[in-house]
Amino acid sequence: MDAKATIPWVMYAALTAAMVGGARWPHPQWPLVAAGVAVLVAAGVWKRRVDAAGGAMSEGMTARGTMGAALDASKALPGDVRALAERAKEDTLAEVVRAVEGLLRDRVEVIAAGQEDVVRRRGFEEWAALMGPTAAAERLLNRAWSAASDGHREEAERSLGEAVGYAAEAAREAARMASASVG
Amino acid sequence: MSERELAGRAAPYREVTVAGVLLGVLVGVLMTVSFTYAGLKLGFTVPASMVSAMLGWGVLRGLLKKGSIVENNINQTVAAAINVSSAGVIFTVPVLYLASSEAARSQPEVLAAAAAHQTVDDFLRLHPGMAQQIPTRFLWAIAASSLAGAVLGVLFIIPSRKQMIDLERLVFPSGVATAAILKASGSGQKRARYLVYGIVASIVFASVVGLPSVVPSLPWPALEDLDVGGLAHLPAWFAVVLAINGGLTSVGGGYITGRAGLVLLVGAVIGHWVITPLVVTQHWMPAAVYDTIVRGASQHASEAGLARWAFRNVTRPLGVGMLLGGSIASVILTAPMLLSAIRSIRQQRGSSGAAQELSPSLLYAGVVGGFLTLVAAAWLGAPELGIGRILVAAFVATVWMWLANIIVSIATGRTDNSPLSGMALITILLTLTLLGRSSGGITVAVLMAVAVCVATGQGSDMMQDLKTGHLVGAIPRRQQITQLAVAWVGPLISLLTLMVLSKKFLFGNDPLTAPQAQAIRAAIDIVAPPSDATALQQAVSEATRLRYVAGAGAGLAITLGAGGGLGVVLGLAMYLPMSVTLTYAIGCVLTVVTEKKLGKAWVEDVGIPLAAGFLVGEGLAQVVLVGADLARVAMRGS
Repeated sequence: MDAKATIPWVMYAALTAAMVGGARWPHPQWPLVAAGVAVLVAAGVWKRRVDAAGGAMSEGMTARGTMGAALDASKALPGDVRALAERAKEDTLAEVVRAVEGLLRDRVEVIAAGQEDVVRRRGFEEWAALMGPTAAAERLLNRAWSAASDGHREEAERSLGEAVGYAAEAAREAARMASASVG
Repeated sequence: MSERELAGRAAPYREVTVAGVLLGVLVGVLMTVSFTYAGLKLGFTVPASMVSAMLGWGVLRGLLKKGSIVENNINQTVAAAINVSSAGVIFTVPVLYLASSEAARSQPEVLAAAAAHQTVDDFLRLHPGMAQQIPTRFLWAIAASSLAGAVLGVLFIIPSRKQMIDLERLVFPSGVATAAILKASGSGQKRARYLVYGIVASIVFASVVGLPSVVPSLPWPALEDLDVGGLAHLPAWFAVVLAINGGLTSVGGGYITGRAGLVLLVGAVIGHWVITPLVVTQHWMPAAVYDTIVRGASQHASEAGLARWAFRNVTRPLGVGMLLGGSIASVILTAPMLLSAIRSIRQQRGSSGAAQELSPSLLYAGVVGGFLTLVAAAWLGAPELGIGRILVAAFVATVWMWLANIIVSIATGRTDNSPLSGMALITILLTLTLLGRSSGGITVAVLMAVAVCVATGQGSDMMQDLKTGHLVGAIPRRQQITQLAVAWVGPLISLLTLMVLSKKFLFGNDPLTAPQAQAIRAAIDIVAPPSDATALQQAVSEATRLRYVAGAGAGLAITLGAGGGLGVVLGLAMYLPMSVTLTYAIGCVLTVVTEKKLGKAWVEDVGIPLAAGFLVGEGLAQVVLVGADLARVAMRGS
């Protein structure tokens, strides 16, 4: 039985059992209490459907929110950051800002969206190994964005250069996880 | 900014600067004074982050012409680090003042002096200094415990930064809103425009709602909540209430959190639409309590009174217990991430060789120093307890402080709501269980509660600021050092303000109603009844303790079964009033609907900036309203 689907029932039973007192039954306004329980059950059913939809997406392994998509984005990240770091010397700062926003949206956010699927499949420790260096790269990309917005080209270039190392570390972890999955 | 201007810019990139720190100190101190008063009057405070970030743009970039985004981030970090402690002080310290004025009511010299007045209360209201006499030794003890809390609060949460922000990706809506302000200049005109729209709308709304509390002659009343259930003729125990005062902040926080925040609604349904109605309709309360509430009251008043009793004595204790159990389970489940984060703090170095996080050895030394300060505070407050019992109480409080810090940070990170007074209550329960309900026991319990409240405020604020910092690319170590350097200022300013106010006003009366402290004072009698308590009080106390334990068991089981800090969020929902949760849930639903109908780009470009504006505007309006109220009180006094 799906553990998540049983949560509302376990919780309801535990809390009700915890309350001590003499019940007087029936009460004329009992239907409202029943309505509250019905809302709770509906929430449980809704959550189960959402989980089922998430599970179905995971089968494809490429849609956003899956481990496959996260690993693919992770492998692509160092090349993209390196290319931007090199291009940034010639680009205008406004172009650097837009390029960093693109990297955050199309790569980092895709990796982050895979959190639930990666944790479900591989556990917290593997997620930490992948996301730790990714988040460090993300912070440096954000710093590059801020510096470029502030008109500080030197800091933007330095931050992008530093982000490459972390992105490469995350990509190595992604490759290791992918090969372990295949094995 | 044009390329021509940029070419002239040379290293270093401005981050920790004298101007940024000084501006933060100035804003932080002013807001601490204002919100110590406002918190005592209204029961809530406003974080300084967003207000300070707004001012930062005007001063650092507008006036000084050289501010950077990360420099303004340091400014808001400093201001918030100072201001955040006011909540911890005002929720707990007035408990000692309330106890003092209670004791004064039976003192012969007070009774003699009050003979010329109608009642003793009338006399004490006119002579608050006589009623509220806290010995200087106690005041030093309070200062020491709040300082210990400020330092320990920051130090305890630093190792969790990587886990909560980098790995768990907690939202921290206020942190996101502050980052939106800091980044407004580079985010494009569209986002900046909607941020401003949100701010203006929120200022207008909050002013209309809050102005009658400052100008009572206005033709409309001060609006707190909208009782939708009452309008629909639903029973008072089936709460369908929307927050009006603070409503846009709740909607904005919910919108930024998005779909994930809807779990809070599930907890509210359990607490307010299942448990509270069950307790009321099935009369799950002592017959004497039931009879007292309903005797001579109308049907609506009885239902409302019974619902209040059920919420305070059943639903809320269960919620606090679930918070506790859920957080213990979260710590167990995320231990691998936490350990990995701590390992990486030891190892991680930037390319320049500079550490990104505060050194672990400094953390350990600071924790030992904070613990010893806490012991000194307890010793100053109640030396008669003996050093052995004081050491045990301080040790337990320090360990609990670490856990409470995690609870509050998870709650803030997931929902933007913080169960500070619940943490104070558990601290008092733990300490009184260890030390007993003697005079010294209560003093040390309040001192530990002061430390825990200040610590949890500092911890959750540090995490909000670090989230903001992550989004603007700040260096965590610099923020952590800055926060540690100024964390001690806030508690002292707040304490001094409180002492000055105590000379002029009587706690528990307008304007210093101190609702949280009064609730804690009442809760002490419930969780640790006096030796002469009646059988009914003993029974209620025993049942309340059982509910804490039952809630903790449920929170532990749910979180271990489902993960994701579920027990913490559900417990928080049962702890919070329905008005806050329901209004917050509206924000979450709006995210889901707008994302579906208008697309993710609309949410990012319009929805989030608008929601961030709601949070900022309400904070700004509250600052202005409190300033006006302070001026009104000062003029009335003169």
